[in-house]
Amino acid sequence: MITASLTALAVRTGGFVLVPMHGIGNRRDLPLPFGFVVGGAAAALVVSFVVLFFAWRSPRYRPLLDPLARQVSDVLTAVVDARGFRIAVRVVVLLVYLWAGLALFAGQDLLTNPVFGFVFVWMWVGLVPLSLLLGPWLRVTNPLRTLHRGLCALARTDPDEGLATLPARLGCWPAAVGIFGFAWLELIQPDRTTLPVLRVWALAWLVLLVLGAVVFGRRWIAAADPFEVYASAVARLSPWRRVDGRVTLVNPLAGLTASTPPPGSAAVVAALLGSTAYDSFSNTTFWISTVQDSTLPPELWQTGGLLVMMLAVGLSFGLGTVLMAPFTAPRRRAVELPRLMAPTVVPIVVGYAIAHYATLLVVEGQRTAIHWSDPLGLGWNVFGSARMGVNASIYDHPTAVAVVQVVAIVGGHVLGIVAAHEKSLQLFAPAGADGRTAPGAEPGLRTVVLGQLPLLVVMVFYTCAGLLLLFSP
Amino acid sequence: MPTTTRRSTRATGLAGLLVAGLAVCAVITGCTPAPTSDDGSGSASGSAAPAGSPSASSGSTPSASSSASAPVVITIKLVDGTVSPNGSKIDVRRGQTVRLDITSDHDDEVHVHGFDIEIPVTANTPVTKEFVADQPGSVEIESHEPEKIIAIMNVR
Repeated sequence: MITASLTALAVRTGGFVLVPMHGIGNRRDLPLPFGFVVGGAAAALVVSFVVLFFAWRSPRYRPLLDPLARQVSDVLTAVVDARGFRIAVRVVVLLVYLWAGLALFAGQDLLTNPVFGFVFVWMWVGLVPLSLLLGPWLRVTNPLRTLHRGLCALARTDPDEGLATLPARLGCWPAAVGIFGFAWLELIQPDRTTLPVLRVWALAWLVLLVLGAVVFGRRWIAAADPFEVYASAVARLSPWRRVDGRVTLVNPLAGLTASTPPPGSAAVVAALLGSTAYDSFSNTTFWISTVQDSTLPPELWQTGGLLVMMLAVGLSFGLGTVLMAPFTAPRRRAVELPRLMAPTVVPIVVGYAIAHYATLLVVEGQRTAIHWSDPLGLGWNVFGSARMGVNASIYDHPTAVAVVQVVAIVGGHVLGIVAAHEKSLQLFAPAGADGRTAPGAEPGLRTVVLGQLPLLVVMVFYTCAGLLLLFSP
Repeated sequence: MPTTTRRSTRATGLAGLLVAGLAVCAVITGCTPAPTSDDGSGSASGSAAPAGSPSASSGSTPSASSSASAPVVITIKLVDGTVSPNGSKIDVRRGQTVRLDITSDHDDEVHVHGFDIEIPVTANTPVTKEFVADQPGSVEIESHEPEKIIAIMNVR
C-alpha cells in the first residue's frame, strides 16, 4: 500500500538512521472500533430500507430545471470561459507537472524527492476533493491536453481529428484498464518509490496518451487517461455544472443522475472501488499470512487479489443492475443497466477514498509540499516550505479520524442510495413532455421495491464490507 | 385533499422512522465497549488477537500483571525464510513499553516503522530491543531478508 511503499523507500535509502524528529510518517490509521462498524452498518441498512419503501415516487431531479443561483452563473461563466483564464490555468497546471517531471528526471533517488508524494498523494488522492469542489477541472487543465494541443499547433492540425476514429462503443474502457494499471503501480509494483521504475511508468503514460491522441484525436484522452476519467467521475458529484452552456450551481444529486454515461463507466467505477477495497484487504492478517506462507511470488498473489476484487465489485454491481431491466419503461436491454446506474456508485467510491486516504493526504501531502521547494535535492527553498515540519497531530485523534471514516462511508452510501433511487425512478417510468413523469404513470410499489432491491442489497454489501475492512481484522 | 394528506403522512412516517433508526444506531455505537489494549503481556507468537477483545496470552511471557506499565513482549522468530508472528495485529497502549525478543537463523534486520527503529540481527544470536510506544497509530514491524511483515502494532 502507499505508506508501505514510502516505507520501503526509507528502508532502501540504506541505513541513514531516521531520527524520530524527522517523522518519516509510515504509520497508518488505527482500525475502526467494532462498535463503529456495527453502528455504521446498521445506519446504512436503516436508511436504505426507509428510502426504498417511503421515499418519493416521481423523479424530482429530471431535468436540471432549477439551478440554485442564476445571477452568479452569468458572471462565473464569463470568467471561466474567458480565453485568458483558460490559458492561465492550463499553464499553471502544466508548470506544476513540469516541476514534478524535473524532480522525476533530474532529482535524487531518495525519500525526499517530492515526485513520489506528487504522484501517489497529490495526484491520485488530491484529485478527489479538488473535483468535488471545482467540478471538471482536470478535463480543462489536463497537461496531456495542453501538450497535445501544442503538438497540433506545431503540425497545424485540428486537435479533435486524428488519423483514425475512435469507436464510440469503446467509451471509457481504456481508462478502466488504466485505473487497473495505476492501482497495480500504487499497490504492487516492487520498488515503486524508486526513480528508475517511476520514470518508466511516467513515460509510458505520456507516450500512450499523447500518441493515442495523435492517432485518435483529443477524444482519446477523455477515453483513456485514468486521472481524467476518475476526476470526471467524481466531478459529477460536484455542485458545478453547465446548464445550457452556463456554469451554474446545481444539486449534486441532480448532476449525478442527469447525463448518460459512456460505455465502460461501470468498469471504471468497479476498478476504483476494487482498488481501494484491495488496498484495505491486503492489510488483514489473513491476507498477509497467506501470501507470506506461500511459495508463489507475492506479486502473483497481489495481482490476483487486485483483479479478484475489481471483478467481484464489477460482477456484483452488474448483477444488481441487470435485475432491474424487467421493471424499466420503456424497456431497456439488460446490458445497458450497469452503464446507466454506474454514476450512482460514485458517492460510495468517494466515501471509500475519503475514509482510506484522508489522513494520508493531510500528512504526506504536507510532506510533499515541504519537499516541493527542493525538487533536485540541492538544498533549494524555492517556495519557502523546505524548512517546515509536518504537522502530524491528526494521528493524535484516532477517535475523530474514526468518526470521519464512518461518516464518509455511511454518507457515501446514503448519497448513493438516494441517487440510485432517483435514477431508478427515471428508468421505471417514461418522461412526459416537460421532463417529469406524467401523473398516473408513477411506478407502483411493487416495481419500485423489487426493481431496486438487488442494487440496494449490493450497495449495503459494499458499505458493510468497507466498514469491516476498516476494522482491519 | 387526500394526496396532500397521504404525502404529509408519508413524510412524517419517513422522518420518524429515520430518527428512530439512527437513534438505535447511536445507542449501539455508544454502548459497545471501547477496545482496550492487552493487559500487560501481549505475546503474539502466531496468534491474531482481534481488536477490541481481550486476548488469551499464549507462549512464553512474563507473568501477566494488569498495570499499564508492564511491557508488551513480542517474541519474533525468523526461521527458514518464514517469520513468526506472521502478520498478527498487536494492541499496545500508548506509552507502554514494547520489548522485541528476536532470534534468527540468518543475518537480517528488523524494522519498526513509525518509530524508525532498525535492529540488526546476526544468525543464531538472540537480540532484545525495548522502546516506548509513545505515538498513536498503526505501524508495521517487518523483516528485511526477505521483506515480510512480522506484526502490525496498533498503538492507541
